[in-house]
Amino acid sequence: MEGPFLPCVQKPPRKPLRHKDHHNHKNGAEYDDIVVVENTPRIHNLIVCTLCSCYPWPVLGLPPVWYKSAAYRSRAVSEPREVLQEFGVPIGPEVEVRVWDSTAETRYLVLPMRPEGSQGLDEEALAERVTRNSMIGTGILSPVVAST
Amino acid sequence: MDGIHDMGGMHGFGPIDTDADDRAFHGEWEGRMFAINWALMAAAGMSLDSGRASIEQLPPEEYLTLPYFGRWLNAWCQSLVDTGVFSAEEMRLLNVGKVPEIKDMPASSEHASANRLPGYQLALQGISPRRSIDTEPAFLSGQTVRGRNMHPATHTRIPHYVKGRKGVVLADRGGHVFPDTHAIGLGENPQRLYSVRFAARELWGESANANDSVTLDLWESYLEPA
Repeated sequence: MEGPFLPCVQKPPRKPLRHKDHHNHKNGAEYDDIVVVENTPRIHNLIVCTLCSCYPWPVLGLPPVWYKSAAYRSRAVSEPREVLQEFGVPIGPEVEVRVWDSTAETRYLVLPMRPEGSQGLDEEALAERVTRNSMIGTGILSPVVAST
Repeated sequence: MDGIHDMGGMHGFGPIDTDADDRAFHGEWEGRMFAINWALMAAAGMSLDSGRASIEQLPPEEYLTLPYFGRWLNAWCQSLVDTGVFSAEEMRLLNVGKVPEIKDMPASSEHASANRLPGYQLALQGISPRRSIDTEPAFLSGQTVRGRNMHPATHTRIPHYVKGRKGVVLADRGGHVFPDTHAIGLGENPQRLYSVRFAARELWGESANANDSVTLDLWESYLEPA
């Protein structure tokens, strides 16, 4: 279903994206147009634009059809767990789901969790594994299976 | 406006077609429409806000049935008539409002050629909505606020589902062009923009998960102290 489809950049940016955790972010210190929100074992982030189709174009290219669909736009805010299930993303009861509705020009992007078994991989190898959906929150990264 | 575009929380649209064709454009006309959009925006001095406003004014049945770039096409045709570039009669004779059938269009063999289209750099660079303002923020991080019960008939970016609902300010994102006035030619009137987090149960009731939340960026005049 999902390949490393990144229309305007062939790979995720070489420079690491800046992560900004709102809970550690002082009010008014800095304003960014792209805000990266980090997935953790306890927090899963999901990006939507209920009013139109706002999407981090400069990083991910133009959005896929489903992102612009009435089904996704209507349901991602009110039943994100069911939506994630349709994408095959399991969300445990202990996980907090944070939905971001892109109502202004701020663009949100998810920093996916590092895949299991990826400890030995370098930046380039990790970048190869990052998928578009994982950066919207509708995908998670597959565990790395040892090739030996 | 309380239009069909304000979809958050609506029922009836069914499951998500997660396997839908992933290409950015499904026919050449879609890529052309994308490029024409940016060229026209630059030429006509239109803004993202006015573009969104014109799409929202499509009749609901058209909004729901047109393909995505067909909305752009029809909205632009209407805007060009509204602004006097073409008369309605000229537009009818040109027959440009007809959305091509996707199945009739040759599909691009490449995933996306958007980066080669004219206007793409403008599309990427965008037009910064940030403006410096010297007024003190009306709300501080951590403060509980409420979405105002407001129903302008023109463009606005407050979704219906937060009106009257309480949330907590996460961040002050500084001065931003106010879309409500900018979209209809009444000026930029920059206001502070805040990221506000609403508990899922505050928005959707007891059936929602107690851990979950929705965060939105809302302009100062969309909010009131709670």
